[in-house]
Amino acid sequence: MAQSPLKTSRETYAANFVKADYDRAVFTNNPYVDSLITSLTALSANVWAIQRRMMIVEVLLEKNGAVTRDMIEQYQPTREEAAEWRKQRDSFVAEINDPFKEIGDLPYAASIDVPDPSVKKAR
Amino acid sequence: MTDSRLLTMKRRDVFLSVAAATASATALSMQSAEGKEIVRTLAARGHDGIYARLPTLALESKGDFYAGQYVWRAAHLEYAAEQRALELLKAKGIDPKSDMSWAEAVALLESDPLIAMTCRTRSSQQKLKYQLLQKAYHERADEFLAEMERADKMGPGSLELNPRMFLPEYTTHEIHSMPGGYVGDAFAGHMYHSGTDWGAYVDYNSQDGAHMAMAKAAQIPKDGKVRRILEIGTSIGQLATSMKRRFPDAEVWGIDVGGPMVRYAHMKAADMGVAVNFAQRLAEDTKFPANHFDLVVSNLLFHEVSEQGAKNIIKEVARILRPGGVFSPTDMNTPPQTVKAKYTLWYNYRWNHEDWYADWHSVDFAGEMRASGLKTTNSQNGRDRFSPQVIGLKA
Repeated sequence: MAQSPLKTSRETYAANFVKADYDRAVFTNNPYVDSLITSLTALSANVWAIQRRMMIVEVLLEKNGAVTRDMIEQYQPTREEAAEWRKQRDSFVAEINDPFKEIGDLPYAASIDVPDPSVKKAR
Repeated sequence: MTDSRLLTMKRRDVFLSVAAATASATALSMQSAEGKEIVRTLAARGHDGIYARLPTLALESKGDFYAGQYVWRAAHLEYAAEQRALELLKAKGIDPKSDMSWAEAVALLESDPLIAMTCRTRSSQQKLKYQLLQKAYHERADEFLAEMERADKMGPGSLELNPRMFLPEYTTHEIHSMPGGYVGDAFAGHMYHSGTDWGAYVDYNSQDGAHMAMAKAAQIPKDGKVRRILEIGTSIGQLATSMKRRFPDAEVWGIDVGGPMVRYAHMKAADMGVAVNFAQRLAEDTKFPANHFDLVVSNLLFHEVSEQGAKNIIKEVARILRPGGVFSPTDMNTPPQTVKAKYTLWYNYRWNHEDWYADWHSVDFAGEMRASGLKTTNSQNGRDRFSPQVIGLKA
C-alpha cells in the first residue's frame, strides 16, 4: 500500500491506497517518443497559459490603461471574451495536435523511383 | 481592512449575485444573510457561477488547455482512429461489429500508431493534469487544509468523517489515474472536481449542469412522496446537492468511502448554501435504518466497484428503500458494440485504471436488483449519458 506524499501535522483524512502503474505505459515503439508527447503536452499547456495571460493584460490595458498583477489574477472574462478565447484555444489546440491524426503511411525508402547514376556508370 | 477580508468580500459579492440571494446589504460583511460566517476564504479569485475559481490564473489556464485538448481528442483523434480501425479490419476481412474478446480486439489494433496515439494523448493528459493539481494544493496545503477544517464545522448541512473505518480493498485503487484515488490524498475532492471539469464532464461540470439534468430526470415514487433522498458514492456531492435543489424540503444525504471527498462535498454544498448531510460511509453498509429512503440515486459509481461490491451495494439499497421507493443508478451502461470500442474500453480499464470496468460489464445489474427483491423497469429517459437505463422499484 502507498501513502500520500504530503507531509503535514494536520488531519488529512487520507488513507493508504493501491498505487497504479500508469507511469509505466509505453504506447509508441519508443518510450522516449511517449515522453516527448507528454512533454509537448505540458509545454503546450504552459504556452496557452502565457497566451491567455497576455489576452487578459491586453484587455485590462485597453480598459484601464494600466494593470497590476492582482488585476490580472482576478480578471473574469466577459461572456463574449470567454467565447472568443475558447475559439482561440480550440484553434491553438488543433494547431498543436492535428499532426497526430495526419500521420504518413509510406515508408520513406520503400518507394525509391530515382535513377541511380552510379549504377549506370558501372554498366 | 485586511487583504483576506477584501478577498472574502469579492467572493461573497459574486456568489450572492449567482445565487440570487436577497441579502445584498450584507455583502460587505464576512457573514452571510443568515448571520453565519461564510464557508470558504481561499477562493481569492472569486466564483464563476457556483464554481470557486482555482487559486491561480496559471492553473486555471493550463486546465483550460487540457479541457480543449480533451474535446479535440474525443472529436478529432478518436474519429480518425475509428476510421483507421475500420480500414484495418476491412483489410483483414473482419466485421467491425464482430463478437470477440477485449484481448482479441487489442491484438488486432494495438500496433497501429494512430490508434495507439489516442491512448498516449489521454494518458499524458491525465498524468499532467493531476500532477499539476496535486502540486498546486500540496504546495499550499496548510492554507487549504485550514480552510477545510473551518468548513467541516459549518453549515448548512452536516459532515460526518470516519477516518478509522474499514475500507474494502477495491475502494483504495487509484481509479482513473488520480493520485491516491478517492481515499489517499487530502485534496482528492479538489483534484476530482477540476479533473472532471477538464475531462469527463467538460462543459457540463463547473455549474453542476450534468448533475442538475440527472436530478431533473430522476424518477420519483408513484405516490409522489420524496422526504428522504440518499446519493451513494456521492464523490464531491454534485448530484446530492442537485437533488436538494430539486426537492428543497427533502432530507438529503450523500455518502462516500473517501473522507477527503465528502469533506470537499460538504464545503462545496455549504458554500452554495445548500443543506445536504454528507458522511464517510460505505455504500454496502450505509448504517441507515431499513425502509428509510424514498429515493436512492447514484452516478458513475458502479463501474468503479468490484463485482462483489456491486452485489452487496444493491442488496443494501434494497434494504434501505421504503416500500414504493425508487433506486435510480446512472452509469455508463452500454456494452461496447464494436471492435474499436472494446479496444478503447480495454485501454480505460488497463491504463486509465478504471480497474473495475470488467467487473461492471460482467454484472447482470438488473438481475441483481431483482434478486435483491426490487422490481426493475427501463428508464423513461432513454439512453442518454446522464440517465439510468434500469430503475429499481421496491414493492
